[in-house]
Amino acid sequence: MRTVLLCVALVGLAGAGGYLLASGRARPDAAAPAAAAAPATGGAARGVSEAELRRVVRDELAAGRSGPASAGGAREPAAAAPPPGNAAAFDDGMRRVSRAIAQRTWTRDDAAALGRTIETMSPDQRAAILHSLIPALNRGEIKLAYRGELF
Amino acid sequence: MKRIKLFSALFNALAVMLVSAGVYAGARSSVEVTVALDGDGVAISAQGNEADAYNSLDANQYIGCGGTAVFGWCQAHDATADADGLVNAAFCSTDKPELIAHIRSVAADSFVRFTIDALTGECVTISVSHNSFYRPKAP
Repeated sequence: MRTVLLCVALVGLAGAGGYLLASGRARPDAAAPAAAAAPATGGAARGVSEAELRRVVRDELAAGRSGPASAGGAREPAAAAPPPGNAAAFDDGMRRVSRAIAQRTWTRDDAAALGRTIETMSPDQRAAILHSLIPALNRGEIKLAYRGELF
Repeated sequence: MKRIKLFSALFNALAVMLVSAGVYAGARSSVEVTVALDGDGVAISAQGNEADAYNSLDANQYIGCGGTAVFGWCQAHDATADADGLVNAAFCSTDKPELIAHIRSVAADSFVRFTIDALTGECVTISVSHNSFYRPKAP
């Protein structure tokens, strides 16, 4: 009888140990949200300001937009980021479009200047210029002063 | 009698030449540039054959597309001369790779048709066709 009780106790001990081991392996997944949230509370505890936190979030969001994460979760290198654009070319292009709308004419000089720089602009800069220039051309508000390439 | 035979022979030869020319001419088509407007008078599409625009008698017509690796555009002008308030030209631009691919296929005697988003000026569609019935550019 004593032996039987000892065996039952040993089996029970082994089962409890197995359960504890299994729950220990499962813990990282189950605790992931808490772990993800930890830096915020931990950061606050370390005295990170709200402004600093906002900056970090902005940086992370910007980095996330710059390119898809690879299968392993690592981000693409910085080379995948969109080109920063060309502020001077954009300003000159917008000035030319505004002048063209005011004077109702797009000159060969305008075409050549925009043609030289349009490829250096970011897609957003290029779209802003073209979305102003081309609808005005299609409404007849601007005429080409020459026969040739638009830019 | 001899003269009649001579005329008859010449007539037959001429007929054979004309028939041969007819057989080997092939179908030919000419499509000069037209610009279509929406109800507000805004250009929303254009079409025409590049060679026919070039060969036209007026000095106004043109149609074609151009671009770079990252964006492209199409432009067209019909046969009418420019005047205030007259919409006789159409333009569009695109950064869509599939439309840029169409632009790359445009050749000197291509038929080109493009449609436009009136609000943004973006190309909505670009069609390019190369067919034997289009004539080449004349020198």
